[in-house]
Amino acid sequence: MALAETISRKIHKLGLVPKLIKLLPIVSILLAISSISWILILPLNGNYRNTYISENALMPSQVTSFFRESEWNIVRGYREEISKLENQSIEIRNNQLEKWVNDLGLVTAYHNNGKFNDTLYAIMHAPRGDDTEAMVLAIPWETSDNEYNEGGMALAIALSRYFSKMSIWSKNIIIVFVENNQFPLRSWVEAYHTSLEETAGSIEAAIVLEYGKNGDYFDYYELIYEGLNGQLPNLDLLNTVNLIGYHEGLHCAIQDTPSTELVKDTYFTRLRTLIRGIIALTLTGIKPGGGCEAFSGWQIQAFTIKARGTKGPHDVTQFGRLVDSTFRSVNNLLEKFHQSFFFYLMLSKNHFVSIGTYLPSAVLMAIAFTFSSLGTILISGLEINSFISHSAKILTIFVIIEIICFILSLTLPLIKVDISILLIILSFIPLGLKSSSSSSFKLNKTTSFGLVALSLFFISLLITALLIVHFSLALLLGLFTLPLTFLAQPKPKLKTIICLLISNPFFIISIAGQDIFLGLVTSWHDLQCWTWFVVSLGWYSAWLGVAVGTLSGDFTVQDTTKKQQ
Amino acid sequence: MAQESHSVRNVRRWIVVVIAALVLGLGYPLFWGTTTIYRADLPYEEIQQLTTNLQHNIQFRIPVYLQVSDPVPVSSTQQAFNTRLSYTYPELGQLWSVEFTTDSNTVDSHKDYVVIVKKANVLEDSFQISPYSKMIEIFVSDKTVADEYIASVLVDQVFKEEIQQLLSLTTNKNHDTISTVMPYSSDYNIVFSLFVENGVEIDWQIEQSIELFTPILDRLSHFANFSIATQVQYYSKLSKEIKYNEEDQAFVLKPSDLTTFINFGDWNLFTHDINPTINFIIFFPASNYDNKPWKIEGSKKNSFLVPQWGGVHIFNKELPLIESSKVTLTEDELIPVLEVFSSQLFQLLGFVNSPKSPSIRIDTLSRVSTYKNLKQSLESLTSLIKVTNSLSEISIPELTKEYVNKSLDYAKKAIEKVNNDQDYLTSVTYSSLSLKNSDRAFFEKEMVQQAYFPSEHKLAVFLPLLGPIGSIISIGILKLISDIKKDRSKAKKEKSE
Amino acid sequence: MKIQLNIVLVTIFSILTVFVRGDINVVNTEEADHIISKSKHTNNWAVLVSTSRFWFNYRHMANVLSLYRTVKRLGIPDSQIILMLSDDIACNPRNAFPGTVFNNNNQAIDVYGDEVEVDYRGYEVTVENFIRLLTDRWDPDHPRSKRLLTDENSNIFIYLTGHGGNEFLKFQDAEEIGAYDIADAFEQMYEKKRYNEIFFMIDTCQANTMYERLYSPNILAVGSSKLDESSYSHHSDMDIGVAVIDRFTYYTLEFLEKIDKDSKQTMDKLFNEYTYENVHSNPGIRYDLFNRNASEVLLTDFFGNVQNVVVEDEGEEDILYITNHDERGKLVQFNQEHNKSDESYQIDFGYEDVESSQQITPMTANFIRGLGLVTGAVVVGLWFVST
Repeated sequence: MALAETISRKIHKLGLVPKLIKLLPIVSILLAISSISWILILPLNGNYRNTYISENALMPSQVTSFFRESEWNIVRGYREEISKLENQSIEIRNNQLEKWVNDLGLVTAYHNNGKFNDTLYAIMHAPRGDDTEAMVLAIPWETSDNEYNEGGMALAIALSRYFSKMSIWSKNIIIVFVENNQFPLRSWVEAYHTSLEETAGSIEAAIVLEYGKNGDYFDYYELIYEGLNGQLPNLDLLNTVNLIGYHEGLHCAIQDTPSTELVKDTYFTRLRTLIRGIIALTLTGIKPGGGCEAFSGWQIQAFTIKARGTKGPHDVTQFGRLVDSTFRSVNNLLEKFHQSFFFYLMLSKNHFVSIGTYLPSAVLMAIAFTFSSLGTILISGLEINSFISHSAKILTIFVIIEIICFILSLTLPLIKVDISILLIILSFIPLGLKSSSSSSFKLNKTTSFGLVALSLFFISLLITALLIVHFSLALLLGLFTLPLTFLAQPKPKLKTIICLLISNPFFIISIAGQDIFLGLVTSWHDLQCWTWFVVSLGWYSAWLGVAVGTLSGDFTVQDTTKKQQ
Repeated sequence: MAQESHSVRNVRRWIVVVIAALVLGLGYPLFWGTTTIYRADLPYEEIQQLTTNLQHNIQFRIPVYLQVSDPVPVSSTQQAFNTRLSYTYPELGQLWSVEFTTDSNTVDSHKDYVVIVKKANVLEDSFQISPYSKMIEIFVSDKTVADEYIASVLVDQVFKEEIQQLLSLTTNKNHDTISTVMPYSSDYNIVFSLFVENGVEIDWQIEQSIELFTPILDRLSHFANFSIATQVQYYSKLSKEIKYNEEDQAFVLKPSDLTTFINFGDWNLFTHDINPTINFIIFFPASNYDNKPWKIEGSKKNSFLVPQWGGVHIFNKELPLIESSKVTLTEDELIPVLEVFSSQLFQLLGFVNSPKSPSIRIDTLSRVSTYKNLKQSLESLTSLIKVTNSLSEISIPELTKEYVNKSLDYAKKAIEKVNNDQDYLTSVTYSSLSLKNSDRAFFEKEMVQQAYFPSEHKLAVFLPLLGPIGSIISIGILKLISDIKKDRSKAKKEKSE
Repeated sequence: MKIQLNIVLVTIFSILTVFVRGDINVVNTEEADHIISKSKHTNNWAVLVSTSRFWFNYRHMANVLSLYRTVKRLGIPDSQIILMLSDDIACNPRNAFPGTVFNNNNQAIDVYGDEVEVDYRGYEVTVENFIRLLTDRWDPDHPRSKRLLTDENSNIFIYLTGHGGNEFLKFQDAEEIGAYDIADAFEQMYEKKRYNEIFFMIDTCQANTMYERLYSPNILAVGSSKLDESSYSHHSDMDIGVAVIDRFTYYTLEFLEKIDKDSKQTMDKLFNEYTYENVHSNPGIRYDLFNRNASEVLLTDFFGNVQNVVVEDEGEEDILYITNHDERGKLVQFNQEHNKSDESYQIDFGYEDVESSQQITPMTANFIRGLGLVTGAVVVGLWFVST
């Protein structure tokens, strides 16, 4: 106590407070800018690392895969049959598949998920294995590009046949035939861990296979790997499949790299991949993804591979070998994936930055908000004691705001309303509050400043809490709410309103589109993605706090320079 | 400057003092008590004293009974003997000697040494050591030289090898040649194996033949326990093919062939027993059926000895064999082989080669073994002390100390038996027990030295735990002491004013 | 005349001397070996240890098993080999050829297959067991085949392979043995005269650091790589999917393939195989504790089981007769009376019961309870004082 008192007296003596007040907004903005520039300098040479296999046990590409010429004919045969089933119902398709798979000797079962057609899945028990762990190969009937996944299905059956003839498996293999790679797959994964009877041990790795109507040849493969809530598969798994692809001579596209730039490696391509990666990670669960996000949450390392192009020199068995060799590598493991990174950002298929390198950018952002919050308190010119005495009132208001937001977050998903209407309602309520400001409702100076400061600090805490777990969300949250930090300055009212508007979550969402909104509100129920709650309980509540504080309260910033004179 | 209130300062001081007291008074003793390695006190001086003085502490005085036709004072014979002994073996010291007593024909020559002095009919002196007992007959031509002749016979003939064996033990000479003698054990397994090269069945009358060994083994019962086993194995191939030598009309084995003769990989030579095994192998080659004999170069008996392991004999069946009837190795055929084996057994156990009499040789063995076992036992204990001193992390359980004490106990008893009673049979047993206990002490299960907690680990574990707290407490104590000093100097100042 | 007489006398004399001196030409085996090797050992033991787990460490098992086969082929019996395999590779589900372990991608020899006697398997291979094995400190009922029953005339070949580092070797992915531990164990063996000579071979990363701390005499040590260097595998088998042999061991085996049971090849020829080009690292050899030159040491001194035999032309052949008959030639029943000593001492060579504590730190249960109570009382008292 004495320490703080001494320092504060010293500060008053030196007249640091006015200086600080002037500087703080600048410091805050500078921090925000440095946070963004941190991301921008990551793709420079020397700031990122090349990928490498961390777990020696994996030994990718060390064993000859025999899924070659003779198997190709089998793939063709199955593809013929499957293409004939395109117009049939999924029930009929599943029946046929079940017959084939049972002939191979695999155990089959169905999972009913209530909304879509039943999911068929087959289990190959490793003949000499422990029966405690499994690897999953998931094939949606409809790819994420809404194409009939006949190549993928054919590969899957051919691979099952190939796998069942081998005796070297130490883990079981589960083949899942889902209708699409969103809700049905997620529902299956959840049911596997809770209610399904036919199971095969804990799942270590999963591959989602999409090979549309490309025929026998494809150009390159696309790799999708984002999981829900900021989770990513272990980097070793991605490195394994990329290394195998490299040895096969296959090119890989990540984050929608155009086919002409697959081998291009410049600052710009890396930056593009990095930023797309951040955005993609934030939108996983909200926008339909590759399907690998369905496996998040149970320590399952999953990724999706899609075949692209029809002309290319690579044949369908090479795609199959990707799966085969990856499964052989994962088969070599005795322990769960633990060696390599779980938090990283890819700059290209061979380059990445790990969490230690990219984290400072979010940290800087959080600090920016803290300084901004502190600045708000100091700029008010009020004694700290007054804030403390009013703290109960501030907190009560904030809690009320939180409760409102909580109710909103639960009810909004149930109301099927257009986003624009919602935007108007939710955005303009606080403005309405201001205009109808009767003196009884007007908050006194302390409360308003305190509320704004608390909200800003709340955002800082939110970013800090999300830093590690969901870096992309934290970063984008910080970026979008940055305009709120510009308010603690003597500024004209118009600018305040503009700042508030563009940092309103629903404004951003409405720009993004109706489907994003729909994806956001349904993501919790369908996929257990908690981004919606972050938006409503964190972002919107803080925004409401700032809005109420600035508009409905005595938020007049004294020009301290005048005061000094 | 704002000062802390008096009560606050006091409380802080008390806290620091109490924590420091807890750490030093309770924590550290607990830590020390539970983590120190238990090291029992070993009787270092006693072991050292016994080891250095072994040669002087033990005194063999073998009773020899003189039977003379004309009574001669024993003292003069004794004198002559002592002179001769100290002249020939000056380094022997007091360790070994002989005590003469007169005998009136009551002593049993199977039990004790009896020297019968008779007049020689010829001009030369001669002697005869009975192979069946401990009787030595000496024929002297002239009585006055009798003492010296007796002395020379005893020193240079009867006890020569015994003295030499004892001397080699005392001088601790490093042998460059390989010793054939097996290491001492209180139990031995003797295994007679018949390895037949092909699969044709053979009978051997080993059971009866082995009975001949029982007298020797019984007589050695105070020295060690022996158990005998036999086995027959067919299809026992040799590791290397031996070529038939046309000139000698036989398969000839050169010494270089013998070094890898025994096929350890295929032949069953493993007894699963902790006690050492002495293996005697009779190899029955298939060429016997072709009447082609085997010969070992340099051995008329077709045998050879493997040092510290056993012996091998290659059996040539004499008579032509008839295809239909089963081959039997009869007792008569086996006895010469067993004779060879018995001689090899003697060499393996460390018997002296002369004199011939097994009684004398067993007696010699007892004495030499007593000394050897004691020496080895004390060496073992000395190594134990050395090891425990050099490895400070090794624990010394109470059990080790007990075994050490037992071993010393038995050693002292053995020495006592020799010095007081000249009872070589019990002394060898005691010395063997001393050796056994010294081994048990050394190989005690709990004495496993391992760097379970190397210093780096200790630092890594304790520093983060105790570092911060320790630094705060120690700074607090230092501050306390400086405050007290300040107060005292202040009080002094005030007093002086 | 005089000259002729002299010549005759000289000839006669020389002939006589030949007869008198006897057969000089016959040198028995013992002396011949004495000239070449000067080794005092009478038996050979081998301790072969693999320390790593997991499928991708296939090559470590292959290393050890290959040396096991070699050492057996050269004559050391199973009863004198201690084989410690830390993981079951042959029956691992990932093994494409179940029940086999190959050390070459030509899959020519199955080094596991028939007649392998593993003494310590799986989780029995621990640092503690290894040190107990070397120092022979066991429970009384520990089986004989799992003990190293060497004496002062035994030559021991000790081989370790696995993952190692600077002065440590990893056991089972869970613990480590330090260079000091091994050095102390060897010293204890030396003190108790449990070996004549030791040949210590280690094939791991930074292997040479493991023998730097040895200080007992008569040890010849060889390591596959020096500090901060890795040891490499030789080649992989693309059908099995793993590396199947390490470089250092590969070249050792290649050399030993040419050796048979009674070879006279010396160690320095083996050491010549350890070049940087072959092994891709800097192997090291430690000579200073060994009192013979590498060119005088036969390979069979450690890898084989050559017996130094004693051949006697004429031995004694009447011992049994003498002991079973008396002077008159009559068969005699041995009279136990002759062997009775004055004190009828019952010779009991068995283990006596020792009633004493087996604990290292003798703390009785009551003492521990008391200590706990005191501690609790002090803490509670302090709490009362502070409030």
